[in-house]
Amino acid sequence: MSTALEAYFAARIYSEGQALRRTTLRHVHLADPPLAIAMWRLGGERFRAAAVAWGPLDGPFQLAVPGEPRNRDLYFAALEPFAIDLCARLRRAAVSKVARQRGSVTEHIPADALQLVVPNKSTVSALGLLGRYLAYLSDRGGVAPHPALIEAGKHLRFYARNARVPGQSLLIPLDRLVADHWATLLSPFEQANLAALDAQIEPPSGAHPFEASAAAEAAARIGPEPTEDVDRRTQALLADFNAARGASTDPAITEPLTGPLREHYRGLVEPVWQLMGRVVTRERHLPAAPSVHRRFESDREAFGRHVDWVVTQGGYYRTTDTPRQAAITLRRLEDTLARYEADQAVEDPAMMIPHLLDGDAIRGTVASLTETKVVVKVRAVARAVIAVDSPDPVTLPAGKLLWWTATASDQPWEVQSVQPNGAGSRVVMMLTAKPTAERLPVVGDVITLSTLCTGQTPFWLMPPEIAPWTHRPATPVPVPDPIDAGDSEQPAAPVDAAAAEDPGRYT
Amino acid sequence: MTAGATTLDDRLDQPVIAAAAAVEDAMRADLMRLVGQEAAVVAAAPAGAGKSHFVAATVGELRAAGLRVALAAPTNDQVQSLVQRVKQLNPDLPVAFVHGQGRELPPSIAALPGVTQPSAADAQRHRDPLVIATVDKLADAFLRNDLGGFDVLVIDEAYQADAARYYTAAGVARTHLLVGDTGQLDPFSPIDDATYWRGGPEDPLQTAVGVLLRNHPDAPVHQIPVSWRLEPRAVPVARCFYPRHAFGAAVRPGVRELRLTRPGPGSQVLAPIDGALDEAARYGWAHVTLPGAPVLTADPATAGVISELVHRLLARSAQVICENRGSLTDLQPSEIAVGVSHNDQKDLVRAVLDARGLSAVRVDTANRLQGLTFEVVVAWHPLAGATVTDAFHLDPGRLCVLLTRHRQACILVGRDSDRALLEGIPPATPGYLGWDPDPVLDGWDAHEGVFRLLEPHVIPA
Repeated sequence: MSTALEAYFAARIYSEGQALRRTTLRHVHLADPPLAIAMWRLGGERFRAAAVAWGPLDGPFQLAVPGEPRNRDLYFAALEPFAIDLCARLRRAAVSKVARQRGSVTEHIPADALQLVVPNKSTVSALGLLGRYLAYLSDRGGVAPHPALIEAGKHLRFYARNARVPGQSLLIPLDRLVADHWATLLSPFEQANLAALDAQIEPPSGAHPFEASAAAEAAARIGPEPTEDVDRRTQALLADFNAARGASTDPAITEPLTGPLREHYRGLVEPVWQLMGRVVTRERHLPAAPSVHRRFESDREAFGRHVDWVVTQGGYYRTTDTPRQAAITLRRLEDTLARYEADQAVEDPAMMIPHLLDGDAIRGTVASLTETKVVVKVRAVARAVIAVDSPDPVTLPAGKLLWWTATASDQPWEVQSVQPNGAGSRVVMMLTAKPTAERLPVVGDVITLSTLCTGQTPFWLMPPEIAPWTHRPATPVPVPDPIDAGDSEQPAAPVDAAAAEDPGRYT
Repeated sequence: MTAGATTLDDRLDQPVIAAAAAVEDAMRADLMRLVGQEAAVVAAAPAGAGKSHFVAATVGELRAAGLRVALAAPTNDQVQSLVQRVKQLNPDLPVAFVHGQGRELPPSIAALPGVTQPSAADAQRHRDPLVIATVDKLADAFLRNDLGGFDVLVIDEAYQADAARYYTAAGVARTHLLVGDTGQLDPFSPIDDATYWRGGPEDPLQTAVGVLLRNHPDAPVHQIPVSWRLEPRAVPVARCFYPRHAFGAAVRPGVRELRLTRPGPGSQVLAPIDGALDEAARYGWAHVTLPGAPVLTADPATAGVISELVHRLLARSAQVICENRGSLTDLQPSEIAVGVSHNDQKDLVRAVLDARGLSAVRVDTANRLQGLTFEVVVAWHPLAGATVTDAFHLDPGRLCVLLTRHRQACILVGRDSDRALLEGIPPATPGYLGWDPDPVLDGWDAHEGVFRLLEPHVIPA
């Protein structure tokens, strides 16, 4: 991110009163339609969903409301349809496969992958926590939870963890998508509110974007965390529900009683659903960048591996990474991030601007192109030398390596000298490889060169399977209890301080 | 004090040196005792504690005992200078330098007798008794070519090596010696949520020493109580970065001296620059402040002042004297470094200095200056002209590296609004179970300490 560009955006947005696009292309895949999920939790209960809405974004949503999510039986009964539907969609998406050739290896990867969109990054973490809870349920008291719940838990965990991959499009938090595509005058904290972002970009007719944005932020209820007013209302409805059902968990009794809570959440989800639909439609209008296809192919590959492991082989994921897994993941994320950043800037002129401003890219007219001979090791080899006239002053040191955006996955040019040239600079560079027609620009072309290389990251070997002694604890770590241990215990009764025999005990 | 009239012993602080020698002996004794076991010894050092010397000497002793040794450090620069140090102290010791593509030793080091640059496969086939490589190369060679079976793995700059890299390299030997500087920059990753694993035993971004001590808390840790690089005037500032580590300067006060000729006539326009240089020559420190203003990271005005300082320093025929030089010698451009925080600052300063014919002056980011020594350092303050503080710029490791590279003098260049950034309450920072350091709060504290200690040396530009 360039400070200069941010300052420019801030000034222009302020004076024009309008959000501005940061990109000319869309750098993620957007399915038509994706499967949208919106979720609500109870205040203070991070691990359970009080309501889950899901469905293809071009249609109405289905809604799971357990009534009392802290009751295991009611909770599982309500989540079952969601889990079954999610698993079915996921399996369907992975059925059709295509061959993918990589070197001499042919692999079969899913032709498509189920894409999820959620309103914000907090929903990504909420889904991850929900998955964490469901994926490791035990057969408590001999009563096994519905297998779809456990499978759905594994899927959600996969999606939430995969969301860390830069440029992935399996699970898209829309607040991040919009903030990546648009410059607004919202602080990072305010940008987490999709309604505020949307209102600043496309205010209701007649409203000023800033005022619309402020009003939207104050009025919008997006979840998964309830605001105080939502929680207050929920609390009242929940109390009514619990009073009416007594201790019953019989669906014949409880199901009809969830009506008011269901309506309450339906009212909350409706506007969020419309908002998500509007945002996705708007962003889908942008043409996709060329590398989106390749990145989505990596997503499909990861998706295929996941489905194979969980559905075909019935496998589990570890709850935490081993040191080896963490080391591999870190390296993969770093490689992916570098390539994603390079892809974006090389393909999208608007994304190259920060690099031009920060001095790791130059843009100018090719003034001359000559061939010369240089000695590399012992042989004299042909090398091309270009002079590029940049209208802006360039402050690159000699020896810096730059890739021409047209051949950004190929060999770099090495800066030989930078001389003042009018108000700008003349930069002389030598190609570090054999000059071929594809590698050379034409005199008079306006070209951009940058430090970004889109070439494939070098191949590296996996670390050893067995951790060295330094990365293993000297004493074995105790095995944790199952995640739902204690679920069947009666919670301690709330304490009424006024009625307590010894109030001091509880202070 | 003139150098010729005294012996080297008089110029050094003998009690400090004796204490350090005792610690080094204890470490070697621990290491020798543990050889053959899955165990490690940790040496924690302040800046310029003679780590490389200790490493080179220890490697000599291990080899003398007939042990096969792998010596590694995180960066190519560091391992190249390790080859040099090992050869200086042990001229007869054969050294096999295993390197990545295009990372050959510079000709001057490669030409030293006994230095070879075999492939990893050859190094293993010949069972070379002393192999030096980067941590990454060692790991790669271990996986690809089975380079391993060493008795001892020595890692220099082990607080800079991360647990992920150490994971693979650790397999080359059973017994390890980890030597490092606790004040330097922690391992770093550009990914968004680099703190994802923080606090967990699997965290790939904890230091090599961190993961070792987490799993094996009984491993002996020794603190080296001396700095050979820093002189007494530099130590109080350096202590800001080592709050739980007592150390002193090896050299006595007044032994080192930076001498400048008088500014000539007509130099009125350069008065602030000359003032800063005189201050630095006299006290070892100068803090040059430009007028407060919010500026871009690669601010041309700051780069201009830095270039002026370097140029003027050489124009005033700077000479130095120290415990290792019998008489005043001219300060060479290669003995000067400019330390910055960002690559665009580096490029800008590099270009400006090149334009003035000062290509021999080293310009680099703090990360790359770790482990290096210069006579004079001009440091671009990490907070210079910033409008807000953040974890990157507050990192105590970054400031520590910038302010502890010099033997004679350090000139810090910033803006007079920088200190105000630290007024009020430090930002709230997340806590992580099992993870003690808080880089933002520690940085806040260290930065404030440095501002306070350098207050008497502020020179408005």
